[in-house]
Amino acid sequence: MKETLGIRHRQMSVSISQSRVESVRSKDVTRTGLRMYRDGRIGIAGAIGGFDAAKLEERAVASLSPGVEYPWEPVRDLVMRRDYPAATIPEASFAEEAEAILSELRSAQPGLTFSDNFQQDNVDQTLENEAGTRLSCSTSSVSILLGFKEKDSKNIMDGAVEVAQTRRYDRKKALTEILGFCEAYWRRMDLPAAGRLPVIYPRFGSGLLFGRLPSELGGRAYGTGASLLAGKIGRKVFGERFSLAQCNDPGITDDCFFDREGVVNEGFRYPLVEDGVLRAVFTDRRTASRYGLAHTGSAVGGFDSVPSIGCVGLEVSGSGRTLAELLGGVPGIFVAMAAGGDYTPDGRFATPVQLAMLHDGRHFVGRLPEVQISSHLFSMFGDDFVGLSSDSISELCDDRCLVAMMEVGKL
Amino acid sequence: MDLDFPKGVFCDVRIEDVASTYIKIMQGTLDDYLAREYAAAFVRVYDGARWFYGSTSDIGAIQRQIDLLASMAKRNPAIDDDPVVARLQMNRGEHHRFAGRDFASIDRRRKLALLETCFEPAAAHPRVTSWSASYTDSRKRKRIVSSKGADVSFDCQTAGLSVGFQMASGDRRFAESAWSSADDFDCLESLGPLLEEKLAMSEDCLMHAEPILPGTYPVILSPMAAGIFAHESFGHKSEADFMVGDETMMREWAMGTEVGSDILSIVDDGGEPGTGFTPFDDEGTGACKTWLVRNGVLSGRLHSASTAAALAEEPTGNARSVNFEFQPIPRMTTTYILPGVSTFDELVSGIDEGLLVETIKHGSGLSTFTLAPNTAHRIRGGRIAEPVNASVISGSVMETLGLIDGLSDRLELLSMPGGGCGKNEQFPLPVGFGGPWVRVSRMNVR
Repeated sequence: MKETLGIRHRQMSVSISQSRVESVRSKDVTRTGLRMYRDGRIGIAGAIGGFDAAKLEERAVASLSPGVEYPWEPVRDLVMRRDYPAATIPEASFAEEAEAILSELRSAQPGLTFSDNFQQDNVDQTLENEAGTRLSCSTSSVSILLGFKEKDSKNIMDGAVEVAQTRRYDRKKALTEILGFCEAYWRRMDLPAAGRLPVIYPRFGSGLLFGRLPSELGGRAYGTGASLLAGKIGRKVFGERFSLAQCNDPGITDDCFFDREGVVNEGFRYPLVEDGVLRAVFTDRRTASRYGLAHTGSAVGGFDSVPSIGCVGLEVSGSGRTLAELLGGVPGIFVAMAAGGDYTPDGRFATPVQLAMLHDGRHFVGRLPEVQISSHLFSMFGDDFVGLSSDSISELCDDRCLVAMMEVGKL
Repeated sequence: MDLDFPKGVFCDVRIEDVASTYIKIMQGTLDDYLAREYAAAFVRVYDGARWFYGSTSDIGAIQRQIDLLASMAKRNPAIDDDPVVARLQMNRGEHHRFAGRDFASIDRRRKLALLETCFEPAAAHPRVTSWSASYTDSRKRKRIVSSKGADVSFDCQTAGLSVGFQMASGDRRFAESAWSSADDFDCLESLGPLLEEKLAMSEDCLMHAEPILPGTYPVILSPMAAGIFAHESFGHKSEADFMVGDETMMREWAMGTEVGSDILSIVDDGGEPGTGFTPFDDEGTGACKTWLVRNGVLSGRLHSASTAAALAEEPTGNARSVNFEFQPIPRMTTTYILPGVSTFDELVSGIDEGLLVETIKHGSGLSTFTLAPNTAHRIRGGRIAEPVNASVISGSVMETLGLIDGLSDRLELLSMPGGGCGKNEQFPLPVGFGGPWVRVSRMNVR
């Protein structure tokens, strides 16, 4: 049985330095992985760019010999195609579009210098096999990531603002959002009070906060007993307001709707936590089989590697309430830039927040001093979890916000 | 290679011939065996005002890529006099240090057999609930050809063994890893003794570590922690692209400025063997040893030809990219703190109530640095005491550099297999790091 995974990534990228276009880069790279399934084993060979099909197959067959066991059947007779096009910018005028944005920023924010990049991505992923499966997912998006610093600042970077993976790129709206953030940046505020405060994490900036969940909710950690959640499927482990699903919905971000084993979930989601009760942990075929767990379709890996367990994406269920409603009239601490924090083995969490903003639920009010936030895995997603907002802080992308009560203090 | 470089622009081509291996054994079962080989190229065109980049996985399409990028550039008759172009070196020749001991030529059964000698202590340990072992190697041959006349080829390679494990006891958890690396297969050592040592220390942490009372403590950083601290807190700020065109930063980072205690010296050296070994950078500039800090005083910074031209300095061999899809930008190679004169015991004995950080999970370094400790012990009365859990150590970079008051007398350089440095979109770039044991008189621990 043969199976082919193809990934084509086209990208146009402009690098920004000192608020000006420094360079223009284009790429168009295709990666192909050919998998051979035979006698309960898997052999894979990969190619970047063009390749000789016969030689690739020869290499895939040869790679059966080290003996990587894979006794599972590939997905059969599944045919799906999904395209998620974006309002893209022609390649020929991409640098000029970036320059137009930068020109406005230089004029409106003379006290700041901007860096980083402006890019457009088109990713086509296909998985086809001799068992009749034909899967295809195409996504396109435009992203603006701008680090900024005050012109007289001694820091490398004082803040960052982004328009992430939008399919509705609109220069005017992008500028409105970026400038709104920058204007609030200049309004220095005091921390309302140290102690327990609502902390707001934007969806696209919640990697650090979520950092521990993938390791605790992974099937391998669960099955071996390494997870703090081990043995707790069916039990209430988080707060009643907290529900979480494995999610690889390309309608929201640039995810691919099938995992590396070709598995597609209904609605591109698989519930893991419902109303605080642990229902499942994420698994690929091997992990589900090894530990007797439900298979959730969470295989990841390189184009030419054996599919293995990984987190394809997580989505907190919406609260049905807006950010303003979640905050209930109390301004929240918006985490705009935080790096370096972590969890202890027992689940305690702490991080400095290098750029914290005060947000009233509708607008950025102003900039706070650097703060330290801390909590515990089972508190921030437990009784201290407030909810995920129903509204996005961006008109251009799905940037809904998580709110949880945490300890906040000046650094 | 017969390339037709267009007139009126500078152009260079970087061709990468890459071979790599990744073998993973999970709980005794072979889970992955990946052997990858490819050749691809990155093309740059510069017209004196803007760079144009393109990458191709079709070596036969390089000329087409050059022509395409050149069509986007403006013709500049004086391009040869441009200060950036003037600083690009014209190195030539073949510099293949690893010819005859290329990892790609090692039989894959030998690699698997070596890996199988590594994990037994973890597999047999009663507290270990989950473990995995991996072998990785990477060999890159690069050739850089430019319109100015450079034509240099060279190679670099590293291999590593790693065993990661998780321990559990009731509701307590602890994770750690043991690893080794080398640039010659025959020098790769099995992990057995090191792994046994790590297992013993980890079991102690698992069973006895309690949360540290948040506060300010004197801290001793291991060579690993000190190396990552130097990399994150100071190394990134030495990458000159952050200060180009920024008068405030140029004033702040003027050579001769006092930036740390007078016992502190930090260097970056692409010539050091290990994961940071970079005999020529991705513009073809030869490696050199750059003193970033000498006795507490700012002494150098890391350059590409562009940043060197902008600051009227010289390239340092630090223009690096993660692979053929990206442009070279100023990056570190092997960055380390130079040793001092104290013994480790002398550093510890000078602390009444403090913290010893042996391993860390990660670090970061903007104006505020962070280190996330993994294995750490309290120091009480000048002796190493019980293990503790701390989630993050943080503080002001500049203030902390000035608080370094002790350095041990032995340098340890580390090459972490599979790891690397991230900057902007480019991750992971192999780097080396290290230092001696470093004592800081005051750090904020939570």
